[in-house]
Amino acid sequence: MRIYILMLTGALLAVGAMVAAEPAKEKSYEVPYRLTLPKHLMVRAKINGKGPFNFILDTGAPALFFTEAVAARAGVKADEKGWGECERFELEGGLVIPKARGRIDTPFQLEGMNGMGLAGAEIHGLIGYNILAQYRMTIDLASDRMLWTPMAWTPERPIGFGDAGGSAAQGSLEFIGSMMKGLGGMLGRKATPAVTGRGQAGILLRDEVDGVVVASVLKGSPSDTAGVKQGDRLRKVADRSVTSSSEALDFAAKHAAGKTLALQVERSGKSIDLTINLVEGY
Amino acid sequence: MKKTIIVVLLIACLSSHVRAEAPVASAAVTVPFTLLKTGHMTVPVKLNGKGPYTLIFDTGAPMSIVNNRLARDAGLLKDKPVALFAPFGSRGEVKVKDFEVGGQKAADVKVAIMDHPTVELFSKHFGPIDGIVGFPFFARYKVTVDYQKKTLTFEPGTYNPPDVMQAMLRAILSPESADGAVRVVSGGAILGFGVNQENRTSGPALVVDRVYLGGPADIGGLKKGDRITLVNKRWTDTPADLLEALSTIKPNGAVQVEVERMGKTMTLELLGAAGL
Repeated sequence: MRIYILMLTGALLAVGAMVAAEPAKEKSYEVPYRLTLPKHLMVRAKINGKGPFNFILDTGAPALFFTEAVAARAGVKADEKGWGECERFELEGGLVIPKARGRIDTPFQLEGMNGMGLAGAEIHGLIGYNILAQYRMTIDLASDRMLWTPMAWTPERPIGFGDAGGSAAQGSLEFIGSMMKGLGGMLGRKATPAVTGRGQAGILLRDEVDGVVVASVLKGSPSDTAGVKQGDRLRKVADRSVTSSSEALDFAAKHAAGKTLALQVERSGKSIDLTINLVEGY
Repeated sequence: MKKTIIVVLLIACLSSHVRAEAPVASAAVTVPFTLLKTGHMTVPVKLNGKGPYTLIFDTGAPMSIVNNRLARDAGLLKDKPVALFAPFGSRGEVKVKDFEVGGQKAADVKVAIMDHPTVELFSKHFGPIDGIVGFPFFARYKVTVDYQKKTLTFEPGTYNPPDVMQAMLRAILSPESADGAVRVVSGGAILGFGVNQENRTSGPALVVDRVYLGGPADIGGLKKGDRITLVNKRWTDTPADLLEALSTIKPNGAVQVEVERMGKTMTLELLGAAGL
């Protein structure tokens, strides 16, 4: 019996110790990201308050990399081996990475992607092992945010194949970067294509069994000016018949601010064509 | 003495019970990885039951890649004629019926067959490494990377990864990505406000200059003059930032907007509405 009790006490002690060993409470950070066209996980960071710069989250990179231009803008100086330490490296979502060390370099993959304008945004660097290893990360593509939890440990420093800490040897693939850049140049690509928003008409829509109805017209909006009325049945958007509000949105999606959008509505049995002068808005 | 044995047995039963139940209770599978001295990680992979082979796990890889040696060994080269132009022994893409990383199985995963020079280089230094596990596999899961425990956990997710090669080809050939083209970003709902960009010494900010009366932004409490600093935790330094941050908005979907108003920071919750 004594042994039994001892065992039990032992077990309780073990549980107690486990509870005590559990860190007070792990703080996790939600890090928003975007998926680029080549399906890279892209996060944004401000370095020493400058930026934001675009980084690809890459477990296939041994370290943090950022370009010479980024280093110059953020005032990060390279040591004789090409590494630089960021005073403040803040990820979108509020996570500040202390003393982030990175290689100041432009890996050929970046040169290639930016040359082809493939990401839809200029990529300024990669976040690799030496940073990632300090966190436990959960990535779910169904959500637009990742979860980063700082871990209390110091990961070992990675070693490079060559003497240069990582990027030196890529197995003779380096030419691909300049090749893609050349190809991108021929196709007229820019690293950062111009972006504009869908123009705003200023109507709220309601789906009904037999079609789409204007639920309300925002006062002073372009639709108000053009004479759209609450209760109008929306028949066509950009000359295409619509049966739902999501369809209406799809057909209007490529119409930027400053352009016009043709609507056809039905009011008291009559069909009315209206032209909306779209404005910038959200 | 007898009692001790009973207790030990009890504990043993308990732990075996836990072991047996774990894979059933959650379909998440935890896979130990090997951390190479370079900071890269490798995982054991079986293709159509063959293997395990050692592959690099790479969140930065849009494709999964296997080399010719593995492809031959796992019988992936059937019906694959040798192309005339085959840089790095490239043999195109094949769909692998049964793609297993650790204990996590996925069906019909595309892999590209090529002798990737970087992979070959790893192989030379660290023993046979035959490819890369990339996006087409990991995107199907909620993946947790734990470098301290040296584990990857794959929990089945709801995301259905598109064909990356097809998407890229389409994008490269589409007129929208041609010279001088402008990309139009469109959210799936309307909030009913407008902004002005203001350049301050303390950094750029977007200032609300129009809120439509009775619109979703008005109902949510947004006011003219508010400076928008964050939308769904994303920085909004420029109108383009705001467009991107609002590009995922849906009717009845909540949007968290952090604003500065008279020196105070507050977070508003706006509800998107169906509309144009």
